[in-house]
Amino acid sequence: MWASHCGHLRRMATGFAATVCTLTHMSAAASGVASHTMAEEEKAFFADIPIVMSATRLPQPLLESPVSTTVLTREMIEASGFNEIADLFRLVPGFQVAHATGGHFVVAYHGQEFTLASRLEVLVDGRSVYGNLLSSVQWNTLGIELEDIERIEVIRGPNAPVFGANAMVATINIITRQPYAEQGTWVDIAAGSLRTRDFLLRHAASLGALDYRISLGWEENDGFSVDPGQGPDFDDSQLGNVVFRGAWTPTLVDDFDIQFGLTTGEGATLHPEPEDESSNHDGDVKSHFQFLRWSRAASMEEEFYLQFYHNYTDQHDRVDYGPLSQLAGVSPLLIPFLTGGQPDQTIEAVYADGVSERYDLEFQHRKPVSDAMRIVWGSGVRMDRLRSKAHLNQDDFVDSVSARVFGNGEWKLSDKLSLHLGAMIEHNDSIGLFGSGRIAANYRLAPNQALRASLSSAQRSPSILEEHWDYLLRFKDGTPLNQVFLSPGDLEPEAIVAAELGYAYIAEGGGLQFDAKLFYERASDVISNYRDLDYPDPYFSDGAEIIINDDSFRISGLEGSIRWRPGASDLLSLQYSITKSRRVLSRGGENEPLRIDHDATPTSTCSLLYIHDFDHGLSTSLGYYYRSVLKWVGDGDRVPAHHRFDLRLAKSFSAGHKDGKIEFIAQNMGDDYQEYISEKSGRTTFETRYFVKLGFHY
Amino acid sequence: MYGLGAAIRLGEALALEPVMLFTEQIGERLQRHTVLPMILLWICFIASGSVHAASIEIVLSSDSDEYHQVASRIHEALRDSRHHAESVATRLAQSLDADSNNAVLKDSRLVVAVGVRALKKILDGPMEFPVYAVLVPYASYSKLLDGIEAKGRASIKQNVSALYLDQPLHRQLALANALGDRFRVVGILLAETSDFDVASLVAEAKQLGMALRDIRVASSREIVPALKRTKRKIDILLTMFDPSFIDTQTIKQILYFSYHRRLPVLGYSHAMVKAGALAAIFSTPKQIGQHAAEEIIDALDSDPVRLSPPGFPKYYQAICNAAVADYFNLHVDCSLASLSHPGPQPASGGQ
Repeated sequence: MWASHCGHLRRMATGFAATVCTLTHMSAAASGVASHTMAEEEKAFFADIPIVMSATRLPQPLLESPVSTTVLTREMIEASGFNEIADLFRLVPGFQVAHATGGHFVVAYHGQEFTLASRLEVLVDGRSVYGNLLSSVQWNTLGIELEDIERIEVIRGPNAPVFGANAMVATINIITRQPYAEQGTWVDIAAGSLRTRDFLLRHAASLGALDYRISLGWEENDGFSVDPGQGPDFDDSQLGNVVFRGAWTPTLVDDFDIQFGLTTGEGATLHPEPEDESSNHDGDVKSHFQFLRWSRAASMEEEFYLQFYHNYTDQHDRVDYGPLSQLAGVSPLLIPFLTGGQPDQTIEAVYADGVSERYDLEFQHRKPVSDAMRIVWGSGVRMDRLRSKAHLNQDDFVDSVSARVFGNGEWKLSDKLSLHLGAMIEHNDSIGLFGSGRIAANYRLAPNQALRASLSSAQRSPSILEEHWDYLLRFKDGTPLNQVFLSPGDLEPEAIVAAELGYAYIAEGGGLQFDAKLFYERASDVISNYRDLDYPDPYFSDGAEIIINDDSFRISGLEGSIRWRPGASDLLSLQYSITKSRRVLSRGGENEPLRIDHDATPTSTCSLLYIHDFDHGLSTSLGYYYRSVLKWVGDGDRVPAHHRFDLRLAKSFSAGHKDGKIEFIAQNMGDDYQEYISEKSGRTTFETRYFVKLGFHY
Repeated sequence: MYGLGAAIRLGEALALEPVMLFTEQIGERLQRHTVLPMILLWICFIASGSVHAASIEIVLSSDSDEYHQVASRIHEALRDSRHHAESVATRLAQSLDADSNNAVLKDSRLVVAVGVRALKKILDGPMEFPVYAVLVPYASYSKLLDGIEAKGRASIKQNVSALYLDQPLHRQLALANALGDRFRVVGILLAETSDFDVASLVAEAKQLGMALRDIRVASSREIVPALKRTKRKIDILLTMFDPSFIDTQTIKQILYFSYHRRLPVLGYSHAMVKAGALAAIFSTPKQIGQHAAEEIIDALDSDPVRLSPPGFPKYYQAICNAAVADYFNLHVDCSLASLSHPGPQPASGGQ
């Protein structure tokens, strides 16, 4: 199997090479270097400079975008006072964020997700961090530091024609700061509630044509376990992180982005509710990645890139369920008779256990075809691998090779009207050929106002886990005890059709921005699970959870944002979403009643961030977050509506040529509330939290 | 230029004295030929081997095209002027390496230093002739003259003048004003030790209904922190070249900051606009050469030569980057013709 994959990859690589050879001629003229012998002073006037605008990968202007996009700027990221990257999405219209455990976060767009949210594509500088092991994103092992993030672009709506499978409901594009953006050494420390102890050391400098940044971080907290004596920490985490980013610009038009990182330590459990408070938890995680991108920018409008990356995660998350006799509610003496001679013993639950890898090679070419038309096209090949004895019930890796071709074009039909067309065709081992497409139009009502309309269709291929899931509880000697999850395989891709009508307004000078959209989304063949009570288990007659394509949902609503900068010292950012949803849940068979849930998407969410800068480096920000009742799908509960207020005070100071900042942060200053598990557990209650941060730059 | 080094060595070996007259005769015959400037320069380089100075010596910092364009324009303008009889020689600063006493220049009526390296080389030796420095940035020129003063040679300052490579900042102010009403508070990056006359610029900004904030930095590493401290209190950033903190690397940093903090930048060169600055006002080498030639022609009217005080180029052009303007949601005509003053030379060359 491996040999055939290598052959496949080699054939793909040959195709890439031919394309690259063609494109290397693209900017021969632009690569000329002026005035080698010119003195430095005059060179600053005449020598060409690498095109910075291209390297920064700027978002499409709001008024020209064919789909709803939210950009979280560095200013908002800092002012939010959040410690976790996942929390930032509370500032995006239509998003829900939950701390399922102290270190495991659920991020969903329009709800409809469970602990392992699977329908968001998350990219870090173009690297997909969606993991195979859990068919989800592990937000605390992304391999980046929050302080390194320059901005986050969130494309709200299906975007598979651009980013492929997994960009089913939305795409999160995290852009980290270029190493040349600012140089020096930074030290940041933070401490506070949950016994949080964070440390971060960063250093950015230049070495000839190479600009680089190294970040060393350590994050530690005790999770939700608050009261001594209530049991051991079940969701504490201690994670170390090393990240390198290099930008090498050997010529004026060529740019190499080199990144690698390692995260290791004990991660928090993924499961929100331990069965036994005295249980032991083992949550080791080790992940690393390597990323290389070569970009060639012939001009601001034309760019080609070729990139390769590798993600690796080795994760273990096991919790003791307790003695079998206790679980079965029988005397320990009866266990050997009921189990064919097995002694009573502690049963271990395995939430994650295995190794996942991703190899991805992609090129993209962006160019104007004419004054009225510009296109982006590209292709990629990917190999995903997963090895998990616990979840796949086999010792070997299961591989999945996929290939994709995509193209997006923008035609300016007139000064006011532009048409956007996009399509992606993908092929993988399990589904074969499938595709996604989008047609959108953008009409300028005025220089500062635009209407947009789009219709998208996207498909998401089942992950390796969903396709091959075969998870059993076992006795210590490996003998199967109870089938928990089982996928029959041959799953269909999930499908979504979405339509939106949007309006955007930017006041002259950008002081006020308004964006709103009316939308309708309909998803079918949604992968879920149902309990098959007839499943023949050897010892228990509780059946098994069978993976099927049987759910569907539809959501309609209105959402948007307002950003208002009344003066140089103030920013108000308001996000809101009003929705109506209907989810039809999977059934066990023809005789099972249809189950319908109207709360899998909250009917309303709202967030507000207000920033005010006083003089003398003092600034404050206030965050308000509201979410109505939400019923998480699967293991999550129906959690009540909540209001939350956060406050941040920061003081910047300078000592000589050194800068520093001290911050006081209070999260949820009001009543306690639940985000994922209802009050019955009591161990994941979000109480008021306080943090102090101190940072130096020199 | 191909074979230049060999040509110079050949010229030195042959010690060609009467070659300048010959050059002029040939030049008149070939003046309409497109290769004329290059042939003239080649012959002049051969002549540079002469042990006697020409009437006007043009010293180039290096063999770069930009320096040649300036020299070529001066040659052409002088040939067509009332001073066409003046002999003109061009040499590389490198050829003065073995001549620490500037002996080869000492009988010149005027020495034109093209670029900072040439000026430095000439200022290092004894100066019994007037020097006109062209294609030199304002900050570099000021620094060099300050250095001379520190060495106790202040007297030679009266023998030196310059045509700067940069533009006066009031032109950038006018450019910012023309780009949109939203640019009311203008920031300018300056070295901590810069003696730039901020007060007069503040007054000019006030006349345009704008406010000016100077952002002082001691080194390139302080640029981004200093810009961060300004927060959103400026609407647009003007840049002027200063070798103490500006180089290609820092321009990248400034432009990167510009995009992510949505702060438009006005550059000081065409290259900056190509890289991503919103707009710039700049002079091409040919425009500098044209202005320099006009100054030289006037200066030669008096004997000894009397130079005008140092000044900024009078021929210049303004451009803006349409893609960047789009990004900042600006609706401007990027030709900016009304802000340009290209002069008698076509504005295409030199970039």
